[in-house]
Amino acid sequence: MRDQKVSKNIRENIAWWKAQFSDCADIKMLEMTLGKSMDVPAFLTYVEVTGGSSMLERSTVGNLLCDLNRMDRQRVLDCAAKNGLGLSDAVPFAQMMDAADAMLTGDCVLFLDGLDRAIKIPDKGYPAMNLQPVETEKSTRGSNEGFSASIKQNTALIRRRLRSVDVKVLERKVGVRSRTNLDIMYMDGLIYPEFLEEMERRLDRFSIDGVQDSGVIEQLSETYWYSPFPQFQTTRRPDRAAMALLEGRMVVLVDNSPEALIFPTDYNSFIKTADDYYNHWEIASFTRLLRYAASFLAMVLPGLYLAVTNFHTQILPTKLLLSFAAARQGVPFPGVVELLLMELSFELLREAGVRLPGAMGNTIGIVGGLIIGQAAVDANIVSPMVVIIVAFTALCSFTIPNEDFATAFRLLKFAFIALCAAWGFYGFLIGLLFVLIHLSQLESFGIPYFSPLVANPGNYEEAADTFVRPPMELLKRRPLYTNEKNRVRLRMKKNSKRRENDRK
Amino acid sequence: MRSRTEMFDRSHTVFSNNRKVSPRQIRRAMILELFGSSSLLLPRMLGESLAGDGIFALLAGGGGAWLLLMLWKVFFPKGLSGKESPLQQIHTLPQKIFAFLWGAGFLGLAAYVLYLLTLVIQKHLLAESFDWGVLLTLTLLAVFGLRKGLESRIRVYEVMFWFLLIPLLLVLVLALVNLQPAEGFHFFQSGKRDFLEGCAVSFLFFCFVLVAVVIFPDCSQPERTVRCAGTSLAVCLGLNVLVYVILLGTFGSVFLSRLDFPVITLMSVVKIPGGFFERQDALMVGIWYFCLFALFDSFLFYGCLFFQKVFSDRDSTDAQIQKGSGAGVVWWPVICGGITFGLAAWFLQWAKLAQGVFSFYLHCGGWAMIVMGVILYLLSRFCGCKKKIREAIKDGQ
Repeated sequence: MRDQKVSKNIRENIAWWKAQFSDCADIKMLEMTLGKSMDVPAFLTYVEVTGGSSMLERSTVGNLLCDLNRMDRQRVLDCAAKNGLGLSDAVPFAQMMDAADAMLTGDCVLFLDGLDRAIKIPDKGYPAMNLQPVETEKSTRGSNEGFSASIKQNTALIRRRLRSVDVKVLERKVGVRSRTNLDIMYMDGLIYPEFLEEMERRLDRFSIDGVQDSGVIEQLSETYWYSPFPQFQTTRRPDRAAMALLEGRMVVLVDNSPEALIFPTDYNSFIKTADDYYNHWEIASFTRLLRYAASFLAMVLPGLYLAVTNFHTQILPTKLLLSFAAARQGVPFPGVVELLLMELSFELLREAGVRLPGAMGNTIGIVGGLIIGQAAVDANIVSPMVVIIVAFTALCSFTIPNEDFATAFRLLKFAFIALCAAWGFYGFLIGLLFVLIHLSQLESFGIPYFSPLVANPGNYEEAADTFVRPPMELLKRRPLYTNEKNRVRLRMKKNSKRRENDRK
Repeated sequence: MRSRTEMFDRSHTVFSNNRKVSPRQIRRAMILELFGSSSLLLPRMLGESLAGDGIFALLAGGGGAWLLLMLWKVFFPKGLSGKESPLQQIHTLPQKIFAFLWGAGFLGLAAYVLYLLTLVIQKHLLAESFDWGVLLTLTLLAVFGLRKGLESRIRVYEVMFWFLLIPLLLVLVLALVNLQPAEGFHFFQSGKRDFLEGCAVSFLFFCFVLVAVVIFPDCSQPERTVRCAGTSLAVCLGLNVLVYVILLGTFGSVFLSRLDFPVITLMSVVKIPGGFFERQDALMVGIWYFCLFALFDSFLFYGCLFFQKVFSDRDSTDAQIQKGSGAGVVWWPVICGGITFGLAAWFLQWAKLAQGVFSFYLHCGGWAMIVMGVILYLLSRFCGCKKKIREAIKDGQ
């Protein structure tokens, strides 16, 4: 919508504002009448968490509204036009878009009938929200702020990062008895509206008594219910959610859940981290390639070990093979039993670590792992090589940034162990082909899971950010799921090329 | 509200459309499919009688396949499986007969490739055991792969393409560096008859590119389909010549003809620097596993496609494939997979039968396909006009 001047007719201002902030459930718009005789139509608007409670507290806005209610019409207008409502920080705006920007920074904006100015009333801004730092998707650089259990705060956390009038918030209730709030956030103009329609259709498809976490919505909205691979990306990081919005994706927030759902998604999105974009491209690319390799090894390494040691010993050099054999001396079990024993012990330790309180959980992971591993080797129950393989596999699975995604590989690892134990490298190939076929058939809201590696209609610039993270200056276009009318993300200004002597 | 299928059926977006394959997908899948069978069998067949002249036979065969592709492009500008194909133009009975013959031909090929793949796996990975299990697992996988239609199936090979090609090229380069030109390279010493036979054999192997004409209507850019097939043929021909030269130089022509799958044997003798792998043949079998599986799955797919034409209305099945559900999508691959499994199991029991079928395809099947193509063209020109006139009269024009 085009910018316009603030009109003296408050109806015009309200109409513009409501059109601009349609589908924005987190933007509050209060129409009221002020003045001693209640004859000054007014319009107060703010981002919900920034001003919602101010009306009831001793705040700038609260006090101001009380004062204005004691004045007559002319005095109210004079006070606003000439005196800045008696506030030293109040800023008048002549353009509607400036007023909108001011509101999105966390202040309230007041319109009065008969006054061709919008007045920004500085208040508390985005409040300090008692936020938890993220535990699972830590970043070495950038904020470690995480979502909380309050949907209002979570919406505001994203809004704070994207102060654009194009950020829309659709609110609805889910759960017949729980009446849980659910917000769908998106960036107008960047999304394909079909994604939104499809999500709403999927939400309409079920009626459930209660929703206590976004995981319930995720499972009920998935198409491929039998797949271990997640079809929604989950995150606790507001910056990841904001990035997703900028990529033309959508974010679902559910009240009482600190986990946001992002859709559509693909394999590549699960491998990326926020750090990839905060660090230099060389290190970001290197770590991303490591994560790709880790996701593969987390699934196949124990199986491959079995295939090589039990079926295809000719692959390994003789010395290495002899050292493997020497390490296994005295172990009474076949390789597959050894491996399963260690893998299951490790899964138990992991599960115990999650259930125990913070510091204790970490301790049991380290102490339990060390003690059980060493004791099992000393007792000749498993060979040291198996301990190394299991530990390395665990390391690989921890490297995958998304827990849900890593879980799929953890689960498939056992299938690979079984296949390789039975048929060696053929079992590995069968398993690999099965997973590849499944992933090729998998889609998230019509987007192929292997996108942009497959089904790419030739837009290679949009697909550049896949295995490696190109230098920032080359990341000019948004990914393929962004509306193709708005794919340009970065424009370099003319004559802005960096030169070698920039520092001189 | 629009259905999901309608919603995502838009050519200008990336949304998957299970009926349309991109030129890149065709190129990559076809390279893998062509390379798998030709590199596995051709060197042995050409090595003994032709030695160095085998290179020219390969080039002549590839060139012949390319010429035929161009000819078919002219004969069948609308492809062979779409609504406007000549198959749809002719009368219902010959149409069904043609579709049946083509479907049966493809299923026979699928069975032979499945048999070949089983042999490779048994010989190099499973030490001659578990043949039925291999057949069954591969058939089930292929049927599972066909579940979501052509485009989803080809995605696998689109992703795997460089992961397969890079290690292969690395090993081939290593083999080439260590190559000691031995007695294998004798040029212009083979008889005329042997040379012509060699040309014909390689021509028939490379004739697989003609499926580009079959999938023509399923391509998102039909005008590029034949060009992609030509590129695939050129790449594959180059790879085959490279493999042949290396094999000839490494084993010599006599020993080459005695090896079952010389290219896999080559993988066991190439030494990778660093000494981490003693032999990598078990690992490299994976390349031929994927290539042959791609070919098997392709033949099975085209078999299903033509059998659907014989026994059911293809449009409805297409819609089911698009939607990813429905009885047609599940049952046709299951039926055709079952037939293929049965045939391949039969081949495994009687190896001579498999050799007979292979000889038949080599000496008759390929030529029959070409002759059928010509007949189909003539029929569509002749009967197609009559059919159009009949339909026009029916419409009252």
